[in-house]
Amino acid sequence: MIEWESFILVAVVSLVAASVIVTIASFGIRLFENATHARAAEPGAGRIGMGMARVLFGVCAVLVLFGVYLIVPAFH
Amino acid sequence: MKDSTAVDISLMVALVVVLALFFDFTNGFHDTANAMATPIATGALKPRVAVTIAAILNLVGAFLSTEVARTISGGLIREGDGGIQITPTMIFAGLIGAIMWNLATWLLGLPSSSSHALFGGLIGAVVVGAGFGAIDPGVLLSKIVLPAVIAPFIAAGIAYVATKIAYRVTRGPHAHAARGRFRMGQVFTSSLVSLAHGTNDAQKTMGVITLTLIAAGFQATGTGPEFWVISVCALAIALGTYVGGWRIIRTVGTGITDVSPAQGFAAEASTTATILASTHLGFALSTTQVASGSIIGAGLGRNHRSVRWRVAGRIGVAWLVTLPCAAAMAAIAELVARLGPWGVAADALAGATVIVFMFRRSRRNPVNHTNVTGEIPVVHHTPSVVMPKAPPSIASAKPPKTPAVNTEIRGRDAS
Repeated sequence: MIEWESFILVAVVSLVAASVIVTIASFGIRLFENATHARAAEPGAGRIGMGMARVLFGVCAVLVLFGVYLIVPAFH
Repeated sequence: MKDSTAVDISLMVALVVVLALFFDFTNGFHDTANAMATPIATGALKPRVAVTIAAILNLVGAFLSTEVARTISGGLIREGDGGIQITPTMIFAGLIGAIMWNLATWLLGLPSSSSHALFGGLIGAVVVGAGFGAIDPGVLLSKIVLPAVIAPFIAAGIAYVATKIAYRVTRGPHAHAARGRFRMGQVFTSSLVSLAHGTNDAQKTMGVITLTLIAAGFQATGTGPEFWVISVCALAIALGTYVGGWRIIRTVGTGITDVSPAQGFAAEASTTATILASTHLGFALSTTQVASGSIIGAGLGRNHRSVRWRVAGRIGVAWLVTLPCAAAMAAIAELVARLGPWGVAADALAGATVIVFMFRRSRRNPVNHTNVTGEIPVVHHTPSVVMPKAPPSIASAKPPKTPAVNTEIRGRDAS
């Protein structure tokens, strides 16, 4: 009656997708915040952290675009 | 066919189109909360800005797809060859039931599913018009009832995990400042929910109007919605979204739990992931139920005592009764409409009276963009305490029974 297979698939995929995007965004925010504080304490510091934060935010942007791709039927 | 009956049919079709568009409008303002309640609650977006973004994305979304519109009842009602003949009158009665229920739940500030109201209305009218044999109980159970029971739990579970992750990862000396930065992320996640909503919900009305035009013989069987139908439906849902169901936004944004930016982001990310997965992997879930479930999960993920179960319980009851209530009202409307033109006129008049009454009633305690983040009537405390800006001295001076308003003040973030 109820399609348990597709239900479990939806649950697992949603859990993984939400966890991945929240993890990436959280690490990005943490690195960004720490780098901002390091920079305020000592100019020129926290460069690596800031760079990594930017990369993670870039990954988030790609994930958002993937979301738009999934929503718009004309793209697939 | 005589000329006089033809006039009746075009009048009926015109009535259905107007009602369908009004339903589309209530659908818009009912569901603004799904995407925009948490960014409004955390201050990520100003209320006016939030509803404007949601309205634009719903307008754009409505033009992007007509897949859902082509399968409006999804096999729930045995229409077409070998099944029953759905008449414009049944659709008219179904829409009256759906609109009444959407407005009643809006007045109570409850985020019920507009799709359930629409399906309930159509079911009620069709059962009266064609008997119980017209409904496929298996489809009703597997496509509507069970997903409605499951959706909030799955969304809550995912948002719980996501919130735990967000708090765990951002732990440290700069935790508080870092967690405020999730507001930026909320803008994107809530926009995705809005866009996804637009591609889905406006289509239900397009489907209803197209179904009516086909039933009345104005459009060939098997054809999709015409461009004017798509346009007016897109405009109606966008306008409804812009007007904003502030009562529901208040319940979802600040009534269930006090949402922090990290929780809001985790909840919206979970909602987006669940909605997109469910639409692409063939297990349709209601956006409203997923969004509300996510917020409960986000509340549990930070502090299980922060969830106001009384509010959550009221919402749960509203979900359970949405379909039967809309069906009952539509059934009554269909019984009256079957009396002939006077019955239809009586329906229309009664419907209009109830609508006016509910709007007047809502003016007694108006909720709008100025007080949407205020306290909800269920919880009695002074409005000044509700704002995150309130100093800790006020927060600690609250009466003991008052639920904790902003756990951020209590320093859980510092852990």
